[in-house]
Amino acid sequence: MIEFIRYGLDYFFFGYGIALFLCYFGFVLLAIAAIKSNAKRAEFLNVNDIKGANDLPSVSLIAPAYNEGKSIIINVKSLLSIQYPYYELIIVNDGSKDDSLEQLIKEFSLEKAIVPQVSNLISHAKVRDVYQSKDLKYKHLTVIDKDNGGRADALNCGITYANTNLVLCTDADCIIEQDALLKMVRPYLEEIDREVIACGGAIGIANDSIIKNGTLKELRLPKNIVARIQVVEYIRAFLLGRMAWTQMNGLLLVSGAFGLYPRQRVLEVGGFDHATVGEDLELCIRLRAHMERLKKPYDVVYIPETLCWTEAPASFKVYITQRDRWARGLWETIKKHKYLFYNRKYRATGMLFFPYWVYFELGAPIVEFLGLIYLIVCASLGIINWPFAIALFAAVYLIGCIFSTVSILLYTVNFKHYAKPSMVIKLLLAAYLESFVTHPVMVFAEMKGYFKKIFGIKSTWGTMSRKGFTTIK
Amino acid sequence: MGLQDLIVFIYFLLFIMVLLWAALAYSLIYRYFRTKERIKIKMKVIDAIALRFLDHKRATYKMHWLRRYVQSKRQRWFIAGIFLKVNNVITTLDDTSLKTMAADIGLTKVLSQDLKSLVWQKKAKALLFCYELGLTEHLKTITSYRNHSHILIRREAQIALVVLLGWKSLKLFPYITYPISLWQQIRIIEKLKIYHPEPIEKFVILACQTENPYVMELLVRIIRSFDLEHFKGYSIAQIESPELFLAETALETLQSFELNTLDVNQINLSLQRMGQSPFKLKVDAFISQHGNRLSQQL
Repeated sequence: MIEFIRYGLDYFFFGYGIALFLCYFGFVLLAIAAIKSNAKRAEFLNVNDIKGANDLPSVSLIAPAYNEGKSIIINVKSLLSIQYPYYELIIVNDGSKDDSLEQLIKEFSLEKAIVPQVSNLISHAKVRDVYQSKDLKYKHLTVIDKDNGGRADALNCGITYANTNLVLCTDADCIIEQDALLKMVRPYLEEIDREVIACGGAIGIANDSIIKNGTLKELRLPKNIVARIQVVEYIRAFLLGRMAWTQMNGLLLVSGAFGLYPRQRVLEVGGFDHATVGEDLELCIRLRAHMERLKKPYDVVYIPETLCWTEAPASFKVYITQRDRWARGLWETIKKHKYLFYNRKYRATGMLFFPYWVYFELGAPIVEFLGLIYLIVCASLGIINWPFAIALFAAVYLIGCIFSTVSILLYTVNFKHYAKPSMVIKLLLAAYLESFVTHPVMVFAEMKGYFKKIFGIKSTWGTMSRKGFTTIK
Repeated sequence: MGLQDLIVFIYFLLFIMVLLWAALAYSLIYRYFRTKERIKIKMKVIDAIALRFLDHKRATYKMHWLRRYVQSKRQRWFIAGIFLKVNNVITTLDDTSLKTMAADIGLTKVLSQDLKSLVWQKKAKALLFCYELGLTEHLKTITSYRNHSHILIRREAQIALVVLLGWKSLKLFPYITYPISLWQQIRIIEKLKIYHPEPIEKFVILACQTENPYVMELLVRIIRSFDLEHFKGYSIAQIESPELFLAETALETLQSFELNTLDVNQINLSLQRMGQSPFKLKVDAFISQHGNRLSQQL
């Protein structure tokens, strides 16, 4: 019996690993096709042509801010300098306890204004005041001061004040590329028979980079190893993962830090969900389910270029907090939308994409954790063939390294951000250290998040202390 | 799988890793030299174009190396791209000079071949080049691509028809069966404004026969952009369209016109026929706004 269980477990772990590697291999091929096709199409839709065009869809940029006093001014300036002819910026001060609002009032000559809410279809915490600038230079800026209700609540509040075709949800601590909106509206301009319900752009890490007047002046690799490994992690996730899903039209996640949605569709589904910490994933799945119910053809797309820069956690403590939150968000979302699981009514979303997330996104840390326990048990019982186990570990490690190297190669070939040989070497070294430095911590953080959900331990968003960007005047 | 097999597999993985490192190194070196070469070519081509405008005889001497570059498949589109950029930036007294130069260096000839290429990208680029440089000699081929199954080929072909034929091209639009993206509509209007700013209404009337809602949307946008007040009725008729994008564009267009009592009554009639929807509320708000304005005027 014990032998039977042992073999069963051996084959389960082996089968799971093979399935995962096959998926990743498929992702590489799909991502290459998606990046190529995106580049070819971009040749016929130049950002400079968009810049001067009329009749473009209008965009509201909504950025919630909570205790962002350290960087709020520089970040709002960055968001104001974005090139797009028809856009408004809505900063939602989500009941900050620091002096964020006072700084904004002073810097942008804000005064209280009566701005009507465009929609009352979604609820949010009480709005204290709405501010607009006396200075014509900042006529596109609106600051909403409201009671604290969390990120989702703040975004919902911003959406109800937006009076545009599209809404771009971002964070006040992000540095957005000047031409980001021009690139992000491309899928909406090109859509014909399939409605684009969400569009995301790749997010990069700008720790230790130089920021001038709110724009990225010089991109540098983070000095801290935890942050540097996350550069590779982000490249791999955005370039391989998201682009591959885009190619299959199976994307279930558009990052909360940078996502563009048609305002009307977001209002139809009731905006972001307050009850989850994974509001970005949840909204995207809800939008997909909504379109499936309406039986309308749709697309969720990703732009492979890095259009938004953020500060990654540089300490294990903050890293664990972040990943714990992501894991809880994933758990809550999967639980909320469990009706999609192998539900034919939702076609590929229910039959293929959602099950993948259940098996390989939600399931991977659990399988990895169980595998570790199994290894310890087998080692204590003395039933491990050590030479074989070490060789297997080496093979799995190398496969992981190959996927990371492929993503760095794809990034280097297609984009100029990390073009210096020294940068590429540093990225490769970080990639090869990932399995030993951040990966075990990530599995721990994810299991911690799941543990909290299983045992109903109350937990909040978590504090994300930041160092702030290096800025020069 | 035994230990020996696993070790062979590890060697195989290591081999792949080495290949990837080599590819990385190659891509870095290749980019370095390509960037250098392209800067050099760019300078030389711009130099040659400038010389052509200033000193025709000396420029002819410079054409030899340019001809050689044009024959190279790797550089052809890069050079064509420089021509297009210059064409968009510089205005000269002789507006055909760049076109003649492109023909002299053989660029027009190779691009004509690409127009018949089976690769969609080459074909679409050739179409783009045709309309940007005004190569009317390929009009027949371009017309045949207006309903091509590839979106970018038919898009570029339709834009090319507008640029080369002007308002006359609108009479071909009722035969367009595929949807037209917002970007294509923007481009068509932009090109009409640049190359043919004077509208010819008889062709707009012919285009109005279309049953394709996307072409209808384009026409409504044209009506707004060129302030074609005679066609206000056409926009009013589209408010009832089951295609929301068309109805919304029609309403936006009507906002840019002065409406009389008859127009408002017509919109009112459409409103009565509409089912309950958020768009109906928009139309309702629009009518009450205009109704108020009209009563104030009276």
